[in-house]
Amino acid sequence: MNKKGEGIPGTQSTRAANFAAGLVGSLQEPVLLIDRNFVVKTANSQFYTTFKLGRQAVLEKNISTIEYEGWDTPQLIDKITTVFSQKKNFNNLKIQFSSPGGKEAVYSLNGAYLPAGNEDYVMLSFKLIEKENKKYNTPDFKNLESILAHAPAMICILRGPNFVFELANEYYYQLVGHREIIGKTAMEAIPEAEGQGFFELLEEVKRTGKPFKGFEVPIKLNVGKEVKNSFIDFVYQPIFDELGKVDGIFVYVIDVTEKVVVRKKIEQSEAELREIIDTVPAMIWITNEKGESTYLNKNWYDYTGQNKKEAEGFGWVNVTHPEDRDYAEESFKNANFARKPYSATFRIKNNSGKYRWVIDRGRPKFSLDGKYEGMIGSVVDVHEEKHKEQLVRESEYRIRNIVEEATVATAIYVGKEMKIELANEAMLKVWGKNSNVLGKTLREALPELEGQPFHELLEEVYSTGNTYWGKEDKVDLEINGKIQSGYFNFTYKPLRNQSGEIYGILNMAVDVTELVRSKILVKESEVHFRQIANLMPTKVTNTDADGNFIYFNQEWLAYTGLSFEELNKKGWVALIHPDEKNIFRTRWQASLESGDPFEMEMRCRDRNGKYRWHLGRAEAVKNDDGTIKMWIATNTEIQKLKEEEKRKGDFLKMVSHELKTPVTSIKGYVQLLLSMLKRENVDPTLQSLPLKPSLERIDHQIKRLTRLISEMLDLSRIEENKLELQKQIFCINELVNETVQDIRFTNTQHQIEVIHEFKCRIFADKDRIGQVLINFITNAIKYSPDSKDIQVKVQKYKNGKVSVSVRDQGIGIEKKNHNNIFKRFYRIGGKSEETYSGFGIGLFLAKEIIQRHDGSITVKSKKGKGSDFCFILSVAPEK
Amino acid sequence: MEKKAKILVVDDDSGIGEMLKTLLEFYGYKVVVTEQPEDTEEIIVNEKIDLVMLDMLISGVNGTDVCARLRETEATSHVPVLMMSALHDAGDKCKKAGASDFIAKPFEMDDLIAKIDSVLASKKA
Repeated sequence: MNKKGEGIPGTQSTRAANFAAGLVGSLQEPVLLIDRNFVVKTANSQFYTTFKLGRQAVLEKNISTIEYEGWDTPQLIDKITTVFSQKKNFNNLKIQFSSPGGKEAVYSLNGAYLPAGNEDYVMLSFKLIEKENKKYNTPDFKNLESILAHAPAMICILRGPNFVFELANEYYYQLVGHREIIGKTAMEAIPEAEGQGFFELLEEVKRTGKPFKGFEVPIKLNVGKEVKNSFIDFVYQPIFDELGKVDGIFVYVIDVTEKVVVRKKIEQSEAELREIIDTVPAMIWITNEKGESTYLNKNWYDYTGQNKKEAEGFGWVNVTHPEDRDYAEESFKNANFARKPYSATFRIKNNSGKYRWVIDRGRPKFSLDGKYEGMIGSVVDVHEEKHKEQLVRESEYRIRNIVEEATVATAIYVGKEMKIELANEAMLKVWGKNSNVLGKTLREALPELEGQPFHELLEEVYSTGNTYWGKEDKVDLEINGKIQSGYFNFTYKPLRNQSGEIYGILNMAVDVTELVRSKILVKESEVHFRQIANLMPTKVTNTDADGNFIYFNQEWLAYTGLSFEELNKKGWVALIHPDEKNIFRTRWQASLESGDPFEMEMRCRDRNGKYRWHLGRAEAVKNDDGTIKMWIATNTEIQKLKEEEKRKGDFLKMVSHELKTPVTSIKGYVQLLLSMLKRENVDPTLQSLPLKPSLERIDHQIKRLTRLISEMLDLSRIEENKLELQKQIFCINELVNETVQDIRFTNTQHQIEVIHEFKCRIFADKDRIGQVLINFITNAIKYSPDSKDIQVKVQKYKNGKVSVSVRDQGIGIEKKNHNNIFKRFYRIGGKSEETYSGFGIGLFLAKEIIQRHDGSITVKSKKGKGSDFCFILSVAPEK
Repeated sequence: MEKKAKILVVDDDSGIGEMLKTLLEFYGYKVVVTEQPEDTEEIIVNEKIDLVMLDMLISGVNGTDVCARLRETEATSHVPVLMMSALHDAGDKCKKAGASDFIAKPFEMDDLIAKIDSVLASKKA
């Protein structure tokens, strides 16, 4: 049986069925059906019973020939004629009938027009009003008439336990093919219905007393020679007798074949449509009036990975992004409630678990009679577009945020007319304007820019799309009513919309006025500096922190005969004499690394290829954080000085040589005399004279003189860098002992204590080290007039070295002079200066000697607390 | 050491020559002195000199050149040369020129005698 729900109000069949239900009670009344010729076509059993007539006496007879008084009443004939001609019913025509037996009864007649296909009928129903002087008040028969008159329905009544056809209307006859049915049982009349379930249903209704309604039930009937397939809606309504038992069944049938066929066709084409829908590259959905999904196409399932069960009802919400869920669901439900078109953009999770943006659109769907049936809609993946849009929106949002927060002056101009859409606090401050300028064009807001190049630049950026970078550009702005100049680094950057068209310009500006002003000042002072540098009779260069040259003054160029480019390329280091070049490199590198001042004498080649002596000096210019900014170096020619020095050196050499010659003679004779005095055959008178001590004093003084002369010579040697060392391995302790012994021999006033804490051999020039030691000890003696204790100590020093120190309790040296005492010709100043003899070169020589042995020399001393001089040398490796 | 050796002193300073002559003769050596370095070879040969004491800086002539010449000349090559100089660090230079030893001026008597004896001894050996 059909799936369609029972009693869908508003359809024809149900309306008819409901009327039919009301009709049943009235079917107790006799009914006749008459055609245009007044021939009786049908009569119900009530008629036969009431009028006590047989079928033969009634059916196919003209009513006026019915042998019964009252049928030929002109009134009735008139009424029936009118019904046919005017298709208009009549009611309540009272006619008195008298049976052949003489019984009289008054009936109220209703006549209803019953069109049926090409023919039409009048149905007469009889309501008993009065019989044998008894009044009857039977229900009105209007309904039945009305139904029979208006319902295009097939109606019949089956009576008795075997369902004998008691009545059937024309339509019913048509349905069953105009066969003889009245008086026959249903099974006899329509044997082909056997096995189609109808008889069983009749039994069921009879048994239960409950009506049955069937919808779109297929039925096979033999019409003529053909088998006709039809669909019918029908009602089996039980008719009860006085005792309340089912006495018959009212059958009301509507042929819905055409409708069903059409619907089947629709269903089929709908199925085809669905197939098409399933193949379109979009997700299609259909919802019912409650908003629940009743259909989703294949694409939906493929896209979301949902199965039918998961997608049921509001299943789609579950794959919606949690952030979008409320919005999407609410949008849809609101639209569904309002029965209005719906559109929402949100993210749904695809089958790989990724959320993608979709546009979901739906339109309401109404049935033909205007009833809302839900929506039909589609879901389209717009992720790429949305993503782009999102990016654009985000970047725009970011820009806005940045602009407003930025301390950098920033503004956004929109459109070709450069409307100020945005300008942050910093930009307003730069302009000297307030937020009133927002929304104005740049020309309106800053009229003072007229005549300056910025409008043109902006127009160019707007038309070409090329960002403009302004560097230290001068801008005149009216601030507090006065035109003020400022300098700015700024950009004009085109802003593009989603489709890449320029819609505005982002302007960012940094006020660099201070910088530019100080740069101008710096430039001015640099010009001054250069002028000075160029005028100086000294070669001046300037390098960066890494020692790369950035400037040579005029003097350099004049000296070398090279241009700045040539000199810069060649590097003036190439001009340094080969003898000094390596030392220069090493020391310059050390200065570059340490930042310490650099000083060195070196020969540099002039434009004629001659080397001339220069004093090179370099000093680092440092940044505030102490890092090196650059170096300034001067090279001062000291050739004349050097030549003078050379002459001085030669002179010293000559002097010492010339002095030594007579000293040698004197010494020779003194020693000869001493030898002679030692002989046995010396005159006793001579022996009595103090000759020997006198000669020994002379010899000692000659030794001192010799040392002084030698020191002078050494000095010139050192200055010419010609001090040669004759290194050998010897025991430092022995040297200390020998030296102290010698000094003790000539100096008996001071107590010289020797402590050997460490014994070792060293690889060095023995005479020179002895010279240093003598210098230390003689100094100790010289500067300790009141204290007699001197201590010489040999100690182990760290890193395989040995230290030899000489400590006295003498006058001491002020801390500030500790470095000076190693300088040549330096002698401690003060009142007592004159009381100490010497050239002031002893410690200078000592330092030079020790340094040439890769050793170090130190002093610890306090004014009035004595001094402690020490040299440190490497211990010779054991063989 | 019965017979003392004959020593030629070559020095342009007469003071030095006289002093050495007096000094060395006191110690028993025979001494010939010349102020002319160009006479050296001749004197060596004629006087049968056993040892030459040669000053390094003779006016106009470099003592090391003289020494080198003596070494190269067959007649004088066997005679040891003791060079002397007021430049106390000239020892290396002199030894390179072929000198047997070097002594700095002014010298200690004991050092001088010791060097002369050692040079003569090494020549005999």
